[in-house]
Amino acid sequence: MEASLLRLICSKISSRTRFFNLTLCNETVQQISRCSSTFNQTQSEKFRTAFRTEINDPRHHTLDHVGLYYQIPQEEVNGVLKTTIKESDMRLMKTFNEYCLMVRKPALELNGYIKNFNLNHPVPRFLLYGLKGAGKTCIMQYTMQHFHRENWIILHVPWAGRWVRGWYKEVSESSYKPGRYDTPTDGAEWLELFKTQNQGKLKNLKTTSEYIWTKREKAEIGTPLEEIINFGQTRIKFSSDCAGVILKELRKQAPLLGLKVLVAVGAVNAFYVQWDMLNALKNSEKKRLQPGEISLIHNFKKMLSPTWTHGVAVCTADVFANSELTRENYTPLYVLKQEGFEALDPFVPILVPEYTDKEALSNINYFIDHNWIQNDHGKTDEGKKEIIFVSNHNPLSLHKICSSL
Amino acid sequence: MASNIPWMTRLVRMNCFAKQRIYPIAISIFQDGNLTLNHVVQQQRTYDVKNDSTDHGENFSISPPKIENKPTTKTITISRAMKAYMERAKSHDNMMKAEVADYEIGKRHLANIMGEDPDNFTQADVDRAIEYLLPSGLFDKKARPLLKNPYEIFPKRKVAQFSLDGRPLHWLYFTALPNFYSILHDITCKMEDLKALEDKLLSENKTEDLNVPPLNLASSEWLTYQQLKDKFVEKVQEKDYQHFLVMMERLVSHPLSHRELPFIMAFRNMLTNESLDTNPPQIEYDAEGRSFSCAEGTRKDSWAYVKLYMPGTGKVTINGKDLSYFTNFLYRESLLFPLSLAGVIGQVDIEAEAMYGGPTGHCGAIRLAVSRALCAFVDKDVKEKLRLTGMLTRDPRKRERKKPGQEGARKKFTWKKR
Repeated sequence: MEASLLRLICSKISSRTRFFNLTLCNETVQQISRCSSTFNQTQSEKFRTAFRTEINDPRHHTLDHVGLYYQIPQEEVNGVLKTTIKESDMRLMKTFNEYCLMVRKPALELNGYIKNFNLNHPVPRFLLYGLKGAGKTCIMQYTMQHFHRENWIILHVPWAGRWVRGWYKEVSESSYKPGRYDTPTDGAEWLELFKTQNQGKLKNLKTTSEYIWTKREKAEIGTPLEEIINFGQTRIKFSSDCAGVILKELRKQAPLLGLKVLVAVGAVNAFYVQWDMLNALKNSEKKRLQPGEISLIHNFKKMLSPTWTHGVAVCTADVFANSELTRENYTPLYVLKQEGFEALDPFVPILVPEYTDKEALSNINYFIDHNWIQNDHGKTDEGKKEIIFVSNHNPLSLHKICSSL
Repeated sequence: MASNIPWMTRLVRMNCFAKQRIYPIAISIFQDGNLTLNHVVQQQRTYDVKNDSTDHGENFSISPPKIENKPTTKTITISRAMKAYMERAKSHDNMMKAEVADYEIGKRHLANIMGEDPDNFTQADVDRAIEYLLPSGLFDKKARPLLKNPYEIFPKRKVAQFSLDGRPLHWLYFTALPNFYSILHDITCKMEDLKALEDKLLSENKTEDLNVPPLNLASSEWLTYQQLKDKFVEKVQEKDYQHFLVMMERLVSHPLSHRELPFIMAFRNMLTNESLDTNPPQIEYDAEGRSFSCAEGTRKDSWAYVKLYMPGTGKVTINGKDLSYFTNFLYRESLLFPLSLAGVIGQVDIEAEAMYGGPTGHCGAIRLAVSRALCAFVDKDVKEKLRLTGMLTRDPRKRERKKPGQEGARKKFTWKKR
């Protein structure tokens, strides 16, 4: 007998022992008989189907699956989605002992656009924008998983805000071009991420030009990209340059080799808006760096310009990468500011709305199924309505509220 | 007469030498010697020497005086105590007359200053004029300037408690609290009567008379200590008041107590039903035919105006934003409470406008307004539920003022030795 079902029966009996009646007897007997007969679908399974789908491949999801949960295999969580899932979500997933994501409507919309896009055109830009906690990053994860399965190369920046701030981050002047600054740790980190997210896709990629690091060290024409990555990781002084080389080679070779490249940037506004808090990156003269002066950002900005083909760029606009005084709105122009808006223009804005009633209910049912909501009132219809009201349909708020129920 | 009852004699012995204070106000001379027990003396007042005495000094409703001028052959001797009393009463009366005259003149002056008709200048006009002419920032309202009828300001006093020859009129005069003790005596007598009646009914096997439902006094409460003192115009002690309550409760708990209901209710305050008192908002219809009701609410310094549409889809708008106007979940939860209580979550649309103060005040004010607006749509039971949970009651707490010589309202400066 399934453990959760046993628990269900036990709890029912214990809560109603005082009012034990014949109907309960019947119920229990029926449930037990259902459990014993392995052919019949159990009550618990019926209950689960209300909020989850058996189709675990994002490529086969349709609008019918909106609001339903699907499972992500462990390899992809540790591979393509590594470090993209938020820490708190990760903890929750580990508690539930499964990695599940909800199918959302904007995600299907975005994937549909990308699927039907003619890759011979210059790179299109898609901008996901919405309220805090509405699920912009989750939708980006969904897209990444989808196109990872179609063997696209993924260039992912989990949260660009990290690249423009840091209390004791090492900042050194670029050896490639004066006036530009390298952040070696960030570069190495990104190389590591790139390597894990694109395992098995980089074998046939080789450089097409010569790169001279120092007088003695250089990369000949035809050096495999994996070697460049390894070099960047061992000599992290050149990690930003290595990242630049990889991006440049991909831009160059994508049309030639028929590669498909997905550029996914979280909080793209950090590329264009100056971070003006105290922990902003500074050069040796204690001058705050413009985002464009940081070589990683400079290189990634090129990926977002429509100068190359066989790629798609998906970005999120996160108001929390901007300074605290300008977080009132979430619209693209407000978040990206004039400069960023002009740089990305024309782009396809995709609004990520908050939960609909169906999605919120599905989320709550998922939590109830995993015993994350243990309060008895929370399991009733009235309680669910209350949770939805207090959360105001916001996924993040819903998560926070349910964590204490 | 008093010596017939043993406990009363004891009381008399104890209190007869106690300092007796008399509060003269209207001069009354009692010629009627026919005193009956168990009646408050003032109710038996028979004769007013001066008919112009006003009602201000009286404490109980007074039955019309019956005048019996018996022909008497005796010469009327007036005791020294009565003489002294009459003198004091006369001087007090004169003083009050002068005060009233002053008040009337003051009122006319005030009317002239304000440029209004002195003849039709009411007390409300006086209050308004004083607030205008002598604006006061004093915190305590009692400390602010006022002009009122002297009979409202000077304390009430008892009329003479003894006759011309100096004999007390009340049989419990020497207990010092005649009105109070006579009520206690009444209670005891009634209790004994009820017990006798109960025995009688039991012996006659009339159980249906005994098995009446117990008195339901939930809608009223006993007079407070202060109210009791005011009613008797006597300095009743706190412990005596407790004694009174115990005796009353004993009377009420008797199975036949409903027979004494009028007597019991004379010492109880009726509780008013708040939700019935306040006017519930009316259902209105807008241009599209949607039904809505409007209400206002306040909390702390905040003020809120709510338009509640029913039926709706659960949309909430606060100052142009949705529920994310409140970042703290606690505020959202408190807003949820009346809706949850009435079972209308997701069935009403709320359009709220909140001003002044902070988020706590806003949320409290909106909650109050929402609860009031809901009253237009929900049935009586739900309304009663809302009232009992305090949803319809304004939270009276306010910011406490800072005190001079202190750091805050209560906090003192850090103590330093020197």
